[in-house]
Amino acid sequence: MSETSVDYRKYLDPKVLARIASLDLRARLIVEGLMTGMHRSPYQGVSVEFAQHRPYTPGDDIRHVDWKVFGRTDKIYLKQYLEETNLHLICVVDASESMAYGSVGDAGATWTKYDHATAIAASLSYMAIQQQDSVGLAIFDNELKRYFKPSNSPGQWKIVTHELCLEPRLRKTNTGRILDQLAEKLNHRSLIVILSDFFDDLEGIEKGLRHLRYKKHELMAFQVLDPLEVGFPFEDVTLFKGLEEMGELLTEPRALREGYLQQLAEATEELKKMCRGMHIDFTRMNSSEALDVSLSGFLATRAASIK
Amino acid sequence: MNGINNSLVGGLLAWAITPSFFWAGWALVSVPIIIHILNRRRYKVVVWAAMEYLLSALRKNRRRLKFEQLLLLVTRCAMLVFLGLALSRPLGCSGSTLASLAGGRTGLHVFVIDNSYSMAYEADRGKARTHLEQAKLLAKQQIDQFTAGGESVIIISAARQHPTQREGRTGTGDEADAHIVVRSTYDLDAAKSVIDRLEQSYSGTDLAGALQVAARLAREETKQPVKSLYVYTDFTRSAWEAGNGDVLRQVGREMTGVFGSRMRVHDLGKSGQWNYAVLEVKPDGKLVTTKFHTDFLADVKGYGAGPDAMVQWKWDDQLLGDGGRLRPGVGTEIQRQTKAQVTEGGAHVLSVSLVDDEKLKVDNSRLRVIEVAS
Repeated sequence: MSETSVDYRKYLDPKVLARIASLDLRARLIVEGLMTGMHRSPYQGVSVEFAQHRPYTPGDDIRHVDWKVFGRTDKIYLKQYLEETNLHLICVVDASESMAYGSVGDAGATWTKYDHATAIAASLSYMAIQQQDSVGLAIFDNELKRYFKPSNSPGQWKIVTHELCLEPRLRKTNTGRILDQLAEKLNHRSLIVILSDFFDDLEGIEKGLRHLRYKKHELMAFQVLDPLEVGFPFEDVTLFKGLEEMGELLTEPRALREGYLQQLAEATEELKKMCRGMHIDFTRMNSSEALDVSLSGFLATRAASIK
Repeated sequence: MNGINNSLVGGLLAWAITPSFFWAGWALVSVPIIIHILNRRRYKVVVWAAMEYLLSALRKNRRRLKFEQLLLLVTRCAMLVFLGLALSRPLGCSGSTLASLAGGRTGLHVFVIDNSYSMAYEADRGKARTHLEQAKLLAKQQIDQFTAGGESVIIISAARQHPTQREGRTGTGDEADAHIVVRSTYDLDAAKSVIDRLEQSYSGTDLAGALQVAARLAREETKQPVKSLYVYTDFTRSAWEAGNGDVLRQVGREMTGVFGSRMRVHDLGKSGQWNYAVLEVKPDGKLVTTKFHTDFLADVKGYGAGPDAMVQWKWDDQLLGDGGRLRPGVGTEIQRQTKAQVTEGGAHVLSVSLVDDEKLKVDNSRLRVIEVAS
């Protein structure tokens, strides 16, 4: 089957992706789906200013070959741009118990918030690695469980997909402290993409974000929520069993719906306001939505920032 | 304490016609409470990540939610209590203006209409010529106030029943049931129509008998707990004489037990009423022949203070001379006709009439067929 006969856009649907076990494959299919119909890669190398040459190695993108130098020397050199060697993309993924919640898909293949977050992280990492950018990874719950500093080595992709494939740690969240720790670890200016539901103390989160902004890092925040969390469509008497040791509640959801949605809206608004104040791009994602909605937004923002 | 409780319970039960429904309503109050408890035991279990927002919503709305839940439970329980209350049919409600507004009146209405001969009296009322017509008018006006579909009517005649009339009505000759004109009907238009067709009887009053029948029928009617009695009569003395008074007193006690205070008696008699009547006409002797002279006798009586009346004798429509004028009273002597010339054998008609300006002319004439032997 040729590539052109396959519509990769279907792989942007979480219900379809839920049936694909391999995160590596998921990420590739997502990127293919994004690129379908586009004339060029949606992910542009962020380079704008020519800095130096480097020798060509097999696998490099030939678009950056300096043909003038080849004509003079019969050797293939690639142009390196000012930002090219400087972009470090770090995906910070929340792996706490609340991220294990999901209602999308069916019983055999449920798509959780964590699946959504890892799919986005993997897709972004895949695109970055394709562009020779450095990719790093941080996975956390109540502590920083795994951290891999940015690298553009061929093996980095395997590390990213392997680590993201591991199940959530089923612990409580402590986002603020993790962001603080990250801020101390990172020596190089980076683009940090935070993927979490942000069901945590907002004051702590604000402190951590401020710390990262203080260190001149560029930040993007993706809040991942399940459609049931967004709509709260429950009707009959329900016993809600809270994750992350939040207790239980037996209640009639109809009576609480309005209040719950108001609380959620207020918290999201506070987050947005907080991020806006720190020039952090904030996007709320519904885990039932196709991924191109979220990723396109990210890519558009990146393209605008490059210009 | 027990005495107080018993009297309280008795008092509560006394005002309701079907107290069982009242208590059933209270018993049913437990149903919403049981359902509420059962619902709390049956629930779905949902693992939930956004617990913080749920708990926060609960904290902010706890009081309002508790109040709403309580209000809902109280409303459900109250509805059942009110249902039981309504079904228990509190006394007096069916007769209230409120009940009529709601269109839900019920009740049994027994009409006893005196259609004896004295009710033929012409009382010079605008819309009703005689006492009986006035009784019919009032009875129909009363029926017009009833609610169709909920209220039923029994119509009883108070005139003394002739044996043939008894058989015609009941098919059995039972004297008591002969008083019944309409046993029980919810069709108010039909009831008014029957009243319209109620005939003037020429017999005396049997008010005691009619009231006994009224009480019996009302007692037998169990579907309508509220019962009312309406009596239309001119209160002639004969209704109370000759032992009827004792019967009426006894019946009165019985009727109080059945109808309570819901009895209305319409006295249609007018003061100053008087009446003359020819009670009997007969020959003086057992045999009337053409060979021997026979006198004829007439029993004429008068009640009340009226003017003189002329007595008119006729033999086969031929006047038999001047019968004279008299003012009949209760002790008036038998009138004698001596001038009748009987010349032919066979059947002849003898009639005696009182000619006067009287309001009750029904009994002013009497005739008799006399067989004359030749």
